[in-house]
Amino acid sequence: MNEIKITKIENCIWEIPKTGKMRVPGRVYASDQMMDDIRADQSLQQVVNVAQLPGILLRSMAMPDIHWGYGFPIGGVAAFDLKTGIISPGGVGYDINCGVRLMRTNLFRKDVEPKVKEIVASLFQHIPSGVGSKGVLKLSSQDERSVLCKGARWAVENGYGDEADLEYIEENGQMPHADPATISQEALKRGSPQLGTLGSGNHFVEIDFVEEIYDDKAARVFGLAKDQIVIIVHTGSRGFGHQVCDDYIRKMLQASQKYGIELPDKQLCCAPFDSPEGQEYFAAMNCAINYAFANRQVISHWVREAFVNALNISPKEAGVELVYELAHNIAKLETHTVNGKEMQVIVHRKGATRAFGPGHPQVPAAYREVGQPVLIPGDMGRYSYVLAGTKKAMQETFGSSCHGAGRRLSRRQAIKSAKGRAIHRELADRGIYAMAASRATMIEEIPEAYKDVSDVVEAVAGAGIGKMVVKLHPIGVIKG
Amino acid sequence: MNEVSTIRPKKFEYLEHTGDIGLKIYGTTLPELFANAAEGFTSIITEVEKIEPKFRNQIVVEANGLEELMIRWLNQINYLFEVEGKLFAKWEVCSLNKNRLSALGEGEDFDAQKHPILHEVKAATYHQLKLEKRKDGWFAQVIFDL
Repeated sequence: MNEIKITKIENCIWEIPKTGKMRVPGRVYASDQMMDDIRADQSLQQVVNVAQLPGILLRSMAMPDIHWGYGFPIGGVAAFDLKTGIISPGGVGYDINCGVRLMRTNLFRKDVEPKVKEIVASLFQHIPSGVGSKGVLKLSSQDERSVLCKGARWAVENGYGDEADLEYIEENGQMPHADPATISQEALKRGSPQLGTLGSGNHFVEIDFVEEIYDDKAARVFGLAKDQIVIIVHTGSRGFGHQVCDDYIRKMLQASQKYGIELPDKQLCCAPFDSPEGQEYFAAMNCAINYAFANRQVISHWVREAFVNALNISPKEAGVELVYELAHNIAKLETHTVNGKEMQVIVHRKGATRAFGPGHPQVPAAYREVGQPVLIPGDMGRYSYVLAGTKKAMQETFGSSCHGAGRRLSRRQAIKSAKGRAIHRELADRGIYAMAASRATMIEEIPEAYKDVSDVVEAVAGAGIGKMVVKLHPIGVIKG
Repeated sequence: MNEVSTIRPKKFEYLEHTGDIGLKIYGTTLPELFANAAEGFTSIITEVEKIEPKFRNQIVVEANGLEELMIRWLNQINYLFEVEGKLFAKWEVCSLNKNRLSALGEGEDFDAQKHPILHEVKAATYHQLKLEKRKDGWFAQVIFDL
């Protein structure tokens, strides 16, 4: 694993030259110091493996939060040609459209800090969380099909949030080409009780205040001011997406054989995008993307209710509005310029986000001048960042950036490190009130289990694929 | 809190992975390998010793080859937990060939008061999957997405 050759070509940009069966070079965005951590796990091998897949365009990439995943590395980005390229469930992951949403409020630190315990308790009460959590929504099979086709729009039509929210979600919260006929009974059964649930592990709802502003203009455009209270929601497509991924990996193992695609790792099984198998997975994955869009929209409605109830104020006074929502685990048709030619490609982002730059027609009109907001949550004890997409990201990374801090410690190392410590109290000492459905989650999610997200963000900014806008500081969090 | 470590080295042990968790599984026979894999997997979800044998359940899993059968088997056990709320303390593999497994499980319904939840498992993955016969028996390696 250590013998992979990697050379620094620019500040925060590294290249793995094309060797052996690689069709394109590899590229990793990271600082010198981060590269030591990255070399220690198997993620660079995964960058090399992805570079071997048919129809890959330009390069196999990894963002600075790269770490060892399964199939693609976490932080992996790769785009494929629609005619000669593939689509791979291993390039999307099990938690299809796991993603993050940022909401702003009309409230400031002084309004919220004295009542943060009440708000956190209210969030915990309103939003089902934890392992196997089941929602209060009881979806009929007809409703579930509607969720799969309409995404966040389904939620809005059923009273969860406003029409205005949809403009501020990647792809407006609804993917076309979603076909419920491609979904197994098992996936439908896992999905129907789980809509409107947070789940477990690294999923959370967090209350933050704006701690520091780096770019006044972009912050103003995003509606963010110093000490303003914002909320981050991080969750995905729950058991529905996990089942869709599992179902289609099995089909893709056969398809890979059928089409003679050599696999460096079985988890990279795939089919040509332009094949019946490729199109079937694409239609099923889009259903799971829509499920996750609906899930976050429903949860956000409860976030609004929790704030209003805990503070005993009107929804207008709370003013909880969507800043932006984006996906972390996704494969999407997008138009990019490749070797000077504009073309439609299928971009896989596995633990990476879209980061479209200024002027792009898919950035909401209100933000178009400064670029799309890019949300980068850190661990629960330190800070998170909001960045803006750049033109350089459009040229270099198919308009992509990093998605978070990335784990540094394995779960076992985290447990060892947390032994004998009162994690809740440590957080409280830092001014962060936390509630979790399970003690195991709190321990495995201790702040030092993650890389320092400021290193990740500095590498993104250093490489020019994102521009720092504001830094957020947590004061309350609920976890599964 | 159950320490995630080598509890029963002869049956299975945990494998370090930055984001997720893996198992190395051992068995003198192939049916034993599958039964031990189920126990290792369940130990990732909860404390196996707290599951009482209150009912029996027969399941059949089919796949193309032993490796895929292992993944389907573990994902089926996860499905039974997530959708039907069933936890199993022990499995007896009744019949097994490279495409089909039939097994009888003993367990009880999940009770949040009694069964501490350690992890939500999204799926058993095919990443670095191994299943092979060695001199002293059978060996498998599975990495889970948590």
